[in-house]
Amino acid sequence: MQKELRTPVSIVRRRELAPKVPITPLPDYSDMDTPILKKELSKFGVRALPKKKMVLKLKEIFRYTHQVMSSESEEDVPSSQPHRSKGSSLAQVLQKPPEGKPRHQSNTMGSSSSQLGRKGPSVCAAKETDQEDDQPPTASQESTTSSLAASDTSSLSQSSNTNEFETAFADEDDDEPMPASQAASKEAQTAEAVRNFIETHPELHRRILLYQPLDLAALQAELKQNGIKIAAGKLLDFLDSHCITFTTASTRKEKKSRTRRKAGKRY
Amino acid sequence: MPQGSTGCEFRQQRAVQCGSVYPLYLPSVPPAGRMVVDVEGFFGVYLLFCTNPKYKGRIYIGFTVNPERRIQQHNGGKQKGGAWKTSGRGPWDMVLIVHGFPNDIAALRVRTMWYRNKEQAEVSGCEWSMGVLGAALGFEWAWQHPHVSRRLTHVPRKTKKQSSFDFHLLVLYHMLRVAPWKRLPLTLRWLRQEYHRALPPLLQPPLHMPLAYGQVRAKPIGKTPGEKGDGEETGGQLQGVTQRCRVCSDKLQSQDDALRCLHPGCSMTAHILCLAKVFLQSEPEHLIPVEGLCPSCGNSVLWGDLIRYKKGCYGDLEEISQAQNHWVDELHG
Repeated sequence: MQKELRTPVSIVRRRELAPKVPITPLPDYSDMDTPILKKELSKFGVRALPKKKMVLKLKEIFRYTHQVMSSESEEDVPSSQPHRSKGSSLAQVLQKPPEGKPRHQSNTMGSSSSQLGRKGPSVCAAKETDQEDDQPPTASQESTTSSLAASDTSSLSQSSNTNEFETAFADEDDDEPMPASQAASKEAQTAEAVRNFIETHPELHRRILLYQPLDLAALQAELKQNGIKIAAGKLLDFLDSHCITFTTASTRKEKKSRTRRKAGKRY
Repeated sequence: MPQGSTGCEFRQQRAVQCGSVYPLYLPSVPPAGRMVVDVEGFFGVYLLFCTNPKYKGRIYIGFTVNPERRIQQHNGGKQKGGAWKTSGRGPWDMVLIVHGFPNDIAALRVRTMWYRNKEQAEVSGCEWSMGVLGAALGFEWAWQHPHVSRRLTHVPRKTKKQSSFDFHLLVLYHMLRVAPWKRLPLTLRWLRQEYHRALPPLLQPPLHMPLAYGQVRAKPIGKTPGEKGDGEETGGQLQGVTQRCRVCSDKLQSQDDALRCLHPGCSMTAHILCLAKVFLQSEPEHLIPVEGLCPSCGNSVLWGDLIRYKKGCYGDLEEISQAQNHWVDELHG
């Protein structure tokens, strides 16, 4: 790529292509004020919504508009010809998984691409919670959406509940329907396994019964050692529903420093 | 049992019969001279109401381990340790307090907490990561931010007609009915009865949470029951004679493992796990019981009270009688 950038030809090509495939960064919707958000939405003919939903909707719209542009550049497989145009390089950049979580990439791509395939025509659909989609995405969609999805799901926490990354970090609202009956039963199984684990470990159970706070990360690690893999978010939900108190390392640190500062006197 | 008036009666009976019932007339002998170690037993989240005509109707929600000291700080202003938000706007009335939290993590504020989703964490300027999710039980925080807490998604927004006070009262009633707080051994206490509002019939707190009235003071108590000597001859029971668990009849290896019944005259001792199993017979899906019947004396006991009793901070509250010249009145006078 560097070679081509040095030659005048590629610069010309870049200039030609630039207007066709504008690479606009994602506007900072989260920081926008409500009136501006309304105005932005009205551009797409969407009525005013609660602020949170507006931000989500705008990000969603951004994803679609973005997707169309990169597919218009008529690059079939992005990785095969990486330096033909900006469009492909964009796709390539986007295809890079977010750093630190590469192992979820395939998972993310799978679920999100099918989602995008379904949602394509209905930008204005208010609900984005249901997950099931039996229609396989078309090939062109797959190539572009998957590349976008890899970078986007991290910012769009609500759009997908099925992949592991999401369930670990973004938690579903209580009123949201369960993703799928299968996932639900699997969840119930995991919860049951955690319960059994606690009941078969008297020391742990005793601590819980004495209302002594558990360390979340330590518990998760211990569970993993015993073959129970559970996302931290799910574990939180589990402990919460059983009214079990827990801490995380960072809050403990915070607490420690605070008590030190105040010499033990709290309010 | 129907949730209506009988529920209230039951609640009051409960308040008299067990525990929440912090002994009404305790000898108010100052603990000086005795070897007293402060047990961090009291954790409460309170609601202040502003009586200053200039700021009338404002409220403030806070956390305290000592309500008596805390209200003085609030009314004393910033210099005396009052919160910035309440400073110079007094006098404030401490209207009610929810106490009985088993630890400060359950009650305490945590600035960055349990947002419903990433968007809201961003809006609030917080980083969305596992660290942010810590201490999800924060009662105070959720009460202050009902529309951000993921546990309170069902709470309706404040209407224009509603006063801030009424709204937060409603939020509180909702909070007492949802996880993770609904099974905690909490007490809802009206410190100033003139503010008391009737409970909405559909939002009755769980029956194990007593309603209490009147001022309280958290009093320091000796670390072990044996040391406190507050007229309770409970110490020393386990020493000498080896006790057996009432449930499984095995020997009790250590004090750490044992729970004792708090009813006077009952000498029931049992393993923590054994007793929990007995108490959980009717709801095996849970891990921590709420209450149960003592297998020996048959009286109903709250699990939270048994644990408090074990830790030596059961009955650590002393009610302040109205006749006493109370600190609040002094402030008003």
